[in-house]
Amino acid sequence: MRIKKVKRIIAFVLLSLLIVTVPGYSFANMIEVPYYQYNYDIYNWDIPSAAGYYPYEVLSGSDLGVGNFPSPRDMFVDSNDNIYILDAGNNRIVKLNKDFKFIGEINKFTQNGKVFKFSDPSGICVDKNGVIYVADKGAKCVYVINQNGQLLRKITKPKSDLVAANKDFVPLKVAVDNAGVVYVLSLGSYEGAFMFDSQNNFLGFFGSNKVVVTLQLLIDRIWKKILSKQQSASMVRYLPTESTSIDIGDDGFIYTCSNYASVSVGELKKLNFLGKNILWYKKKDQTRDFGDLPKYYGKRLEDSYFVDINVTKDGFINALDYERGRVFQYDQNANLLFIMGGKADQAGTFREPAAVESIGNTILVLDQQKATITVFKETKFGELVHRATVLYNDGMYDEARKLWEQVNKMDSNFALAHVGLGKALLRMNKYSEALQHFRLANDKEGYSEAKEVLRNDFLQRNFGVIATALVLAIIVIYILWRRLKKQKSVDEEYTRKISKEKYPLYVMLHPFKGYEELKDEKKGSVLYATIIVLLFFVVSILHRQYTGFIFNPYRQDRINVISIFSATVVMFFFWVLSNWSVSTLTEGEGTFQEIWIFSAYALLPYIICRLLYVILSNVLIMEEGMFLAFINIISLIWLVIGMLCAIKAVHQFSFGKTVATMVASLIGIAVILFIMILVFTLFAQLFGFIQSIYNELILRM
Amino acid sequence: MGLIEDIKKNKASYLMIAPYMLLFTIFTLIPVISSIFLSFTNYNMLQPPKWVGWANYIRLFLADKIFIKVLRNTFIFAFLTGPLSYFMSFILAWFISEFNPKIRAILTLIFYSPSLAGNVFFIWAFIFSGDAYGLINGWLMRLGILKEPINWLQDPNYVLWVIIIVQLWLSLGAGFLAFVAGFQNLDKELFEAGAIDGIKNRFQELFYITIPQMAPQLMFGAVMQIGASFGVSTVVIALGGLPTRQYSADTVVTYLIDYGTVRFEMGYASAIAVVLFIAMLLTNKVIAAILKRYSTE
Repeated sequence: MRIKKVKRIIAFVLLSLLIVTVPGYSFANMIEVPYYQYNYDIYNWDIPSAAGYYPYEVLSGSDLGVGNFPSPRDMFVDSNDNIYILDAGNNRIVKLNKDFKFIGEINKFTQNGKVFKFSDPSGICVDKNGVIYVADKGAKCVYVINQNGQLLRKITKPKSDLVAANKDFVPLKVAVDNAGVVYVLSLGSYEGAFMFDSQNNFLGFFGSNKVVVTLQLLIDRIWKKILSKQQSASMVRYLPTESTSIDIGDDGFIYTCSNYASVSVGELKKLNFLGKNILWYKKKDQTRDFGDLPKYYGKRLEDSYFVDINVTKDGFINALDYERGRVFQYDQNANLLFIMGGKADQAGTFREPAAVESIGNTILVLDQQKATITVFKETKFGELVHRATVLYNDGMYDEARKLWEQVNKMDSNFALAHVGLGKALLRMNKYSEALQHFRLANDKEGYSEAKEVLRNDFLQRNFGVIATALVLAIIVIYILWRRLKKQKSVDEEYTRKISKEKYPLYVMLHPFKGYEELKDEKKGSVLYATIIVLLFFVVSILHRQYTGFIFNPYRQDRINVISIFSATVVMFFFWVLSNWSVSTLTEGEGTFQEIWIFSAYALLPYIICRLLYVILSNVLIMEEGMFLAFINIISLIWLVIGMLCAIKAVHQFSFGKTVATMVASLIGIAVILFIMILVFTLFAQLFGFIQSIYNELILRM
Repeated sequence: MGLIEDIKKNKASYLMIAPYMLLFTIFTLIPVISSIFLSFTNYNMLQPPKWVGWANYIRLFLADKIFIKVLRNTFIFAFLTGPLSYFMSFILAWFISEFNPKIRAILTLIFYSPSLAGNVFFIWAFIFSGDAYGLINGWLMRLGILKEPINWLQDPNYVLWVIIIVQLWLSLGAGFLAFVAGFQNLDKELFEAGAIDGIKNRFQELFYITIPQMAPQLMFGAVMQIGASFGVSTVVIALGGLPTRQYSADTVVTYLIDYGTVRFEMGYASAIAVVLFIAMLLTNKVIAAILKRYSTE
C-alpha cells in the first residue's frame, strides 16, 4: 500500500516536471472541459483528443446588465466585432461591444412617425454600414433598420412568377453580402434563398439544394409519366430540403447548412456565385458526412441536426448541431478540426443551442433555453492548429511544418498534423520520413507519392543490374523449360503418369480434362487437399495483414484470426458439406472425401493469385492499381472455372446440372448458417431459463 | 564455303523468293530493326541521333506517369473489349450460320458493315454529343434522369467507356467473317457420329465438335482481334481527340502518334513502339498456346 503511494507521488512529480519542461506545452492544454473532448480519427472512430477550445465564460442577461433575455433567437457579430443579440422574448435587439459591454438596445423603430415593434423575430444580420436586417416571422417581412432605430424599408413577399402565390413568405434567417444583396431563407422555401437587391427588387432564388436521386424517385417519375394529372398530383412530391441557416464569409462566399432526412452527407455547403457547392473533401465534387456520424440507439437513429453556420475571419467553418448541442469546426478543405460542447447543464454545454458566431477565433454560442452566451476560447493547442492550418491551406508547407511538429507533440493522434508534416517532408525530399507520417494519417495518396519516388530512385540506381538479372532469369527459365519439354517422352504423353504430388498443379493448368483424369485415376490426396485449405486460411491472413498500405483497407491492429478462420476453412467445410448433401439428392457420384479433395484443388489458383497480389501490392503505387485489379479478376475467373470443372467431374454431371448443384449448394450454406444461429439462440434462451430457475431456488431458499 | 555453293545450287529457288524477300525487307524488316535501334537514341528528326542507351526505357517505365495510365487503357481495350468482341463475333457467326444462305448473306453484310464503312463511326459523335442536342443526353434529360447534359466525349470519367462501346460495335471485322466461313465447311459426318456417341444438346455439339474443328479460324480471329484491340487509335482520336482529356482514353498507339507526329521525339516514340511490339508478341504467344492446347485435346 505504502509503496504504491510513494510510487504515485514520484509519478506525479515526474509528470509535473515533464509538463513544465516540455516546450510549447502550456497549462492551457490541461484545461478540463465538462464534456467528452473527442475527435474522429483516421478510421472514423471517436477518440479522446486534446482540447482546441475551452469554455471561457458563460454570460447571461443579468451578467451583461441588460436584464435577462428569455428565448433569444439569433446573434450576429458585425465587421467591428459588435455583437447583436436578437432577444425575441422582449422583442428587442441588444447591442454589445466586443468586450461584452452593453452599448444599446433597439426595441422599437419608426418610419415617418409611425412606431413599429417586432412581433416574432427570428434572424438578424448587419451589413458593413451598420444597417440592421431582421427577419420577422410574425410580420412576414424583413425589417431594414439603421442604428438610430429608424425603419429604412421592409422586404415583403415578392410578386414574381417564380414564387408560388399560395405560399407564405416567412423569413427565418437573413444575410447580406458586400454588394448589398439580401439573402432571405423563408420557411419551406426549398427553391433556395430569396435574393433581393438594395431597392427591394426580387432577383431570384439562390443555392437550392438538390433532390437526392433514389431508385424510388425514378420509379415514381415513370409512374407520373403514365398517370393522369389528378393522380400524379396526389403522389409524393420530391422536394429538395431547405437550408436552415446562412452566413457570408469574409471571402464573399455564401455558406449554408441544411439537414437531409435520408442521406446525411453534405449538410454544410460553400456556394460560389453560380450556387454550386465548392466545399469539397479530398476530391473534387466529393463531400463528406458533417457533424457526428449517424448512430442507432436501439431503433432511434441519431444524426447531427445543424441549426446555424458561421465562418470565422480565417475561414474556419463552425457548425452548430442542435441534436447533441455541439459545435463542429472545419477548415476550408472540410477537414474536421475540433468538436466542443454537449447536451448538459455545465458551462460549455447546451440545452437548446440556437446560434453560433465568432470574434476572431473565439466562438460564441447562444442558448435559447438557458438564455446565455457561452464563449469558447482557443487553447494553446487550438491556436497552433489554426495557425498551421491557415499556412498549410495557403500552400506554405515549410512554414507550417514547425507548427505541425508542435501540434504533433501535444496530440499525436491529430491526423491533419501528420498530413501537413508529410507534405512538408515531401517538399524537403525526405521521403522515408514523409512515408511514415502519411501512413499515420492514413493518407494513401501522399504515401503513394512518396513511395513512388523512393521506389523509382532505387530502380534507377540499379536499373542496369535489375535489367540484366531479368534478362538472365528469362533465359534460364526458357532453357529449363525447353529441357523439361524434351524430357517428356512421347510415351509419357500417352500413358500420363502423373504423380499424386503433381496433380494439384496439373488440374490447375488443365481444368477441363485434369479433373476427369483425377476422377478416373483416383489419385487425389486428402492430405494435400487439407494442406491447400490451410494455405487458403494462411493466405487470407497474409492478405489482410501484409497487403501494401496503399491497397489495404483493413486495420492491422484489429485482426481476429478466428473470424478469418471461420470465413475460410469453416466456410469451405460448409461448402463441401452442402454440396455433398445436395449431390446425394441429385444422384451425384462424389463421396464427401472426393468433394473435399476436388474443391480444395480448385482453390489452388486463387491462393497463388492472392499471394502474387500481396507481393505486388507492396511494390506498386496507386496509379498502377489496375494491375492488381486484373490479378483479382483473373483469379476469380480461374476459381469459378476450376470449381465448375471440379464439381462436374466429381459427380459426373452435365454442365447445366453442375451449375444448378452449385447454386443449390450456396443456398445450402445459407440454410446451414441459419440453422446454426437458430440453435445457438434457442440454447442461449434455454440456458438463461435454467439459470433463472437456479437463481430463484438459491436466493429463495 | 559450303554455303555459297549451296546458294549457287539452289539459284532458282532464291530467285523465286527474291521479290517477296526484297519487299519484306524494305517495308517490314528494316523499319522494325531501325525502330529498335532508334529507341536507344534521342532522335528528333532534326539533329542526327545520339546514342543514349536505356534512357528512353528508364523514362518510359519510371518517370512517365502518363504512360502507366495509357497502358491501363490499352489493357482495358485488350482484355475487356478484345475477348468480349471475340465471343460476340463467334456467337453471332454461330447464329448466322443457322439461317439459309440468302438471309445469311444479308445478315453478314449488316454485321460487317460498320468495319467496312470506314469512318462511319462519326455517327457516334452525334449520338454522344456533349450538348443537350446529343441523342443520349436528349433522351436522358427527357426521362428526367439528367438535369444537365453530360459531356460524354470530354469528361474523363465517361470518354473511355463511350469509346469501348463504339469499338465493340466496330469490331465485328475480319475475324467475324472468318468464323462465318468456318461454320460453313464443318464436317457433317462428325455431327452424326457425335449424335450416335451420345451428344445431348447443341451446346455439347458446339463444345466437342464444332470448336475443335474451327481451330484455324479461331486462331486467325484471335490474332486479328489482339492486333485490333492493341491498335485502337482511330476511334479514340476521332471521338476523344489527340490527346484526350487528361489522357483518360488514350491508348499506347495514340500516345505513340502523339510523340511521333506532334512532338517529333522519335527516339522516345520508338521505345514506346518496341514495348508495344513485345507486348503484342507475348499476348499472341499466350493466346496461341491456349488455343493449341484446346484444339488438340
